[in-house]
Amino acid sequence: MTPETEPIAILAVDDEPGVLALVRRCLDDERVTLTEAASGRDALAHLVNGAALDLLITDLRMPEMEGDELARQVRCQDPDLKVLYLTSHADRLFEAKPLLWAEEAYLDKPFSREGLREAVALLLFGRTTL
Amino acid sequence: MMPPILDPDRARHDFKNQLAIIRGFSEILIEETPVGDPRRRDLEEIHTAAVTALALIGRMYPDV
Repeated sequence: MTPETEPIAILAVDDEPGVLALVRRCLDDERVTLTEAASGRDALAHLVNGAALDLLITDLRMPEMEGDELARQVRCQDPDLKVLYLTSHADRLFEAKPLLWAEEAYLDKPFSREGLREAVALLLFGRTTL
Repeated sequence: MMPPILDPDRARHDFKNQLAIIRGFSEILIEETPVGDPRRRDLEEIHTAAVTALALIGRMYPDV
């Protein structure tokens, strides 16, 4: 299976249903299996079931558990997991995490379809197209 | 009635989220609507309004 045909498993987490719907629309691709969660707790519950994951896309600011804390907890199970933070406040991300890991990136809200697809492709494959 | 949002940082975040959804979907629909389709101009108006409102947020909450 080549990188161009390999299935991609993504977990998207945001407490705003409209943002999840937009992510789903942007990543509408037969290779992508997108699972959605409305909170950090929902996301962790999904991962307890042992689902394999290539990428976590998470809002940074969420009630109960913020995105960087979710990523930290998920990494305890899967240290190599790639993470894309969606944020309307990049300053907050860098207050919480002065340095991003090599497997991490962030994308400012509002984002375009091309912007999201490019960020996902860069993180997963090191190229600009999915 | 929902409680008022008193935290300006939260207000900015939540308001920006909604406009990001409007901007994102309208952008996709413009891309998928052929040039010459009369609905395209309507979609462009929605998109422009969302972009303008996002810029207004930056002016309303310059310090957060």
